[in-house]
Amino acid sequence: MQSNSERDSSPSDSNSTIELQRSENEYDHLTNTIMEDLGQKLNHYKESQDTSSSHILHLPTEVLLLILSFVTSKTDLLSFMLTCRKFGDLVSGLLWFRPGISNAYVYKEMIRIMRIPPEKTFWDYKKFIRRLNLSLVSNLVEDEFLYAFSGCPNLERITLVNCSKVTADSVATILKDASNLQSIDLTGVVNITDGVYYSLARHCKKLQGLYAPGSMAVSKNAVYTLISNCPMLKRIKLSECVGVDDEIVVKLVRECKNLVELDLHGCIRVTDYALVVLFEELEYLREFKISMNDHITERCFLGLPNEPYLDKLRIIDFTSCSNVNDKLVIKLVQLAPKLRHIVLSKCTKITDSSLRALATLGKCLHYLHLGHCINITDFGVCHLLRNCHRLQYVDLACCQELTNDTLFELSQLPRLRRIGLVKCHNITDHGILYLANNRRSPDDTLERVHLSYCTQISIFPIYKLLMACRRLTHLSLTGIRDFLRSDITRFCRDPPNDFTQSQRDMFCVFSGDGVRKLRDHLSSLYHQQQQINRYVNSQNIGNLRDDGETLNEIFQYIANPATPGQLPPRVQELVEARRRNRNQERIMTNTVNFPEQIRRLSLLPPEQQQALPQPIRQLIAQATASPLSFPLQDQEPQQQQQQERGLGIPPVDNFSPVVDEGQEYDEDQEME
Amino acid sequence: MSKEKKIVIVSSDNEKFTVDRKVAEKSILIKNMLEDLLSNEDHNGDNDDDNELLRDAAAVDNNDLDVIEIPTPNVRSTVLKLIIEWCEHYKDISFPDENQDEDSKKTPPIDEWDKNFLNVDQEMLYEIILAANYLNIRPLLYSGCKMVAEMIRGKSPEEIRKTFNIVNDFSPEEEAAIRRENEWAEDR
Repeated sequence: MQSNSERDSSPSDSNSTIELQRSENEYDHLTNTIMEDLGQKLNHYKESQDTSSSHILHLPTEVLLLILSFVTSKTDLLSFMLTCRKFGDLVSGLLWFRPGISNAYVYKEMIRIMRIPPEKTFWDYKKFIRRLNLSLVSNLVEDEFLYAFSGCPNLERITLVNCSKVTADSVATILKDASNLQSIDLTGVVNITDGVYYSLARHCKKLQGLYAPGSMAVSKNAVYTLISNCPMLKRIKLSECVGVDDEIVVKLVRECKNLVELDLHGCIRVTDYALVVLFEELEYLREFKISMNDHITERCFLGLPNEPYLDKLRIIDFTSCSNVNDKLVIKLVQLAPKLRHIVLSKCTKITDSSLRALATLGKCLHYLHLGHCINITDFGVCHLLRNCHRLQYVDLACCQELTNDTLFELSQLPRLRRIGLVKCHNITDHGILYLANNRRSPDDTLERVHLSYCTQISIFPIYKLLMACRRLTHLSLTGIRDFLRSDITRFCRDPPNDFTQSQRDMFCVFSGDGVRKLRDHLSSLYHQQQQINRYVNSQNIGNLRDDGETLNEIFQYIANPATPGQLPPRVQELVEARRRNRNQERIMTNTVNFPEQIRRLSLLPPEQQQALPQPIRQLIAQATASPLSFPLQDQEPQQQQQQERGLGIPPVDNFSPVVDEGQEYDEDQEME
Repeated sequence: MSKEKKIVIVSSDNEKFTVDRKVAEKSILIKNMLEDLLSNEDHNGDNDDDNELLRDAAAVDNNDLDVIEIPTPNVRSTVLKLIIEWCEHYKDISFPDENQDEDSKKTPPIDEWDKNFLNVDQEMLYEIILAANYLNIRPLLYSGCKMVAEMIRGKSPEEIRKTFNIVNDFSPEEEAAIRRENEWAEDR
């Protein structure tokens, strides 16, 4: 589905694990490790089996491990393990190399076995464990688990993503014997203390990766000690760590020459001074993130040449750095011409000049976030989109100057997978129709579309978009009046728990199966209406503004095609009356005032309503349930809107956005 | 010019098999060897590599410029014959590059033709696997290993022992302990 390079391009999407050696072949590594561990032992067992005529025992370990890599059932592996000592040694190493702790049962078993003294178990399992990933049972993991795992001398990777119940003390304990630790991911672990840092510094000298975005309370001294002791650090996330200042960053740059990834999100004390050193000295820097920092200006590149100096830099994130301006962006693009992933959201100073500079990245650029860059316009965005045709991810939320012109250029991007246009008020149905009509290949790439609070959008273009983009798995339409009706919102997913009632009322986000159901629903509405339109047009009746009874008969006629060709008597009368009245004039019209008809039908006495065909009754019920109209019509959007206004729909103003932006973004993150 | 050279692969029991270069190059070992050899020849080169086989082959080559002999000192003629049959069958099919996505190569089931081809007794299967491993013929090695993995599927430990003629060197107590300590890993 994805090529390697593409996967490589978006490491931040999968930020739950640290990948230290991307090129490393997992299987080879496993094989080598086990062969080193077992080399001598296996030869020893071979002799004891030599008397038998079993040749499988004579296969070299590398081949045996290859065979076992094709044994996909763990139960089969266990059976194989029980056949003899040699295979037991082999499989136990395989099973415990990275124990798959994926549910409560395994979690409990692990604690039980780890608590047995090693001399009382058949193998010393603690020696086998190299990788410990607890992110699948993060809601279960408590300190007792980590205490049970202390004493694993060969641990290389620990992943504690979202293990919010563990405390710093147990983390520090498991580190005591982990002298081979290469990486630890503490994303989502709360209250990381100095103790964890000191423990890493003291015991884990080979540390290459540290993801500790919850290090708010960690002191400068602790970070300093860590850096001084772990010179192999390659990837480090120190988000919001108050201890990080210029001195720390300079120290880091000087001590850890191999640094490729640095995340200083929310490290507000860092200034241009440190960044000058950082950019000058880290030639392998691949990924740099800093955010919510007002000190960063164009002077962070001071003294660097006007040429590709940061050749390896692929990912940069300056979210909410309020002093990032056009000068900085222009220089950045000169320095790093192979940038692939750029986040400048809430860098409110940037203008179209920045976009012209970014356009020179051309096909390198795959990911672009310019949300809340309120000064950018269609002019800059269109120029950029025309030049960077390999863009896959574009977010332009709250760029309120943008209009349908931007949507037209977006519709031309062949690899586009994700569009964010939340609160781009100027976007109308025409823009969405561009998008729908230009993206009609059966394997269109578009997967996620965010249009919340684009208040002018109505149903028909969204129907077209759903039909054009079959891979769509996410569509957000929060706060758009036309979609807030019960027959549509029933396919919407549940709003986040912390939403207030008014936020819930606005919430309208479809994902996964919900998107499919929405597509099916709109499609059936559309076809019902087409059928009625076609019939009415074929009879030259024009807008049926007559009484409900006539309509009733038409619907019955449609619902019951047993008498084809023969018009219901009242329709016949009507048609003839019209012919007489208007002489030879043919009344051709393409539209039926459908909502109006439904409204009239709903005014009929209940007995008469009961007599209507089932689909019509349903439509009436829907219309009565939500006071909104039925605006699914293949016609000019503008016209449609007027039509709806005439029907006593609440004015647009009632639907002004209530959900704050933060929440809209949370929703995004949750889904990524 | 060099393409027209005859490749002769020699088994451990000294039987000679003459094959097209295309067939011989299904073995990455032989392919690399030929490349080195022929480029060395082009340069009339000083032979500074220490590959024993290469020197052997080169020596033969010097004696007879049109024939390159490649010895495979640990592959018996009956096995080599089968290996060559396999290479002949796949000579026009190019396999994905060595370093491509690891997963994609492992998941597909055994090719039907390979399944028939490898329907031999265990000893022969192991010899084919070992030869494929030595000659670096990855698709054949993988098919062979998948055949063996297939023989393990769904069997109890005792059935596996029978299948492979393995002597149980665990005591019943030990076996029970291993079960207790490892049954967490079972599929459930």
